[in-house]
Amino acid sequence: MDHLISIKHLSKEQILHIIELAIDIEKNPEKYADAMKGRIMASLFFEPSTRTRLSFDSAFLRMGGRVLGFSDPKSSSSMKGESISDTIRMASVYSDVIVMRHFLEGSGVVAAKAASVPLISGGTGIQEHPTQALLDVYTIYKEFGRLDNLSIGLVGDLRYGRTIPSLLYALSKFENNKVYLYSPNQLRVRMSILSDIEGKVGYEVDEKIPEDISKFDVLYVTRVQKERFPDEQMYERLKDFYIISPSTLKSARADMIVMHPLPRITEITYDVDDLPQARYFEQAKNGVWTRMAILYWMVKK
Amino acid sequence: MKKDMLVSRIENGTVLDQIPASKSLMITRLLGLEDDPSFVAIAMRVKSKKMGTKDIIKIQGRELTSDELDALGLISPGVTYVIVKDYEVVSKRKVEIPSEVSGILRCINPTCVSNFREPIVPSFKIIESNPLLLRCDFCDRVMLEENVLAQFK
Repeated sequence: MDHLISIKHLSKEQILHIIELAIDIEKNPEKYADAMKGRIMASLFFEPSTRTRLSFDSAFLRMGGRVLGFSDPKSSSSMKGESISDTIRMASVYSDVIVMRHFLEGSGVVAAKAASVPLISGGTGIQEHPTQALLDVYTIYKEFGRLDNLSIGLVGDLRYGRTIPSLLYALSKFENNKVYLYSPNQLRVRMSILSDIEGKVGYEVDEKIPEDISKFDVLYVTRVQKERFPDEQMYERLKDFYIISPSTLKSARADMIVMHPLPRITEITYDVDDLPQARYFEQAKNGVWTRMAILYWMVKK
Repeated sequence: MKKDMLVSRIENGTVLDQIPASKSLMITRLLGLEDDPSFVAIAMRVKSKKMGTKDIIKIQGRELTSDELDALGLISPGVTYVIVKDYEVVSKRKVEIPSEVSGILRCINPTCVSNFREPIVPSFKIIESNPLLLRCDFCDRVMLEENVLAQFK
């Protein structure tokens, strides 16, 4: 049984296969309109989500499947103290594929052990968010036609943002990528992640985004997440640490793209939306194609 | 019995020798010896040619499990583990740092799934032995030697 709980477990070839599949699905959605007919996806969200949950639901519905699940843990039996393992064992009986988001790190490992149908992580605590990384690399691939020799600036909360490790792991599968990690000192990428990518992706760590960003192919901005801070004051101090505006992007190349996993709060000003480099809404849309490809790949495999 | 022996030999069980001086108390906690009804002898700061001073623990009627030996290897590698049967030494070896450990340590990450009620055993890979670094198999959190020692204080 194959599950998707970490990008670390995917090969370069598998990532490219999912991308090729997503490209085909985006071009010819009608070809896949009945691909999941008669199948059920369990969508188990132990932590609130809008984009990830809706795009998974949309992806499965677009392939003719049906969806069951919960989006609010208060309405599930985890509130009664049921373990993740037991919930997943039951969901395996009710469905052909499971998508789970959970607020605990390591929950994906536990869920995968208990699942008897393919299980896809929709995010586990601050640990990883593999399908977000896949839609991110899909977006980059569509733009540049490659996933190697890229220069990428990552900005914001790189410590608690679960998208970051997954994206770094994805980039580490390809050659000659370089990342520039801009965050407040308190929100730097975790050491364990850096040691995982050591020697596979070049990286530089800094606090200040340079004036000249013309070397970047991608500027990837993340939100400072209020819910991850134990201390409100620290959040208040750091939330507006980076504000990307048209003036930040003065030196950006015309073919650079600005990405963001959304939701965006204040870290990208609204007037950036109209610039040719803004790609975050496109990126969110790519989530549906990518998740269709992931579901198709995992269910049909 | 040698003249200068403070504690008599044990008939069956375990002798832990070459323990760095004063580390025996942490090991008794690690092995749960306070709650073990067996005869236990702890000798501290015994003169040693090799080490200057050392501690020795003798436990009557108990051998260590592989999980216990792994944990011992984590907090005190180099200890000599001796198994005694009928007053004779039947095996003797140095305890080494394991490559992984399970069931003994807890993850220090409060939001690690292994700290919740699931049918799993917490487990870690040792990624560096000196200084000690471990990584949780579930949440990827890295723990330092002080995080490990703190669990046996």
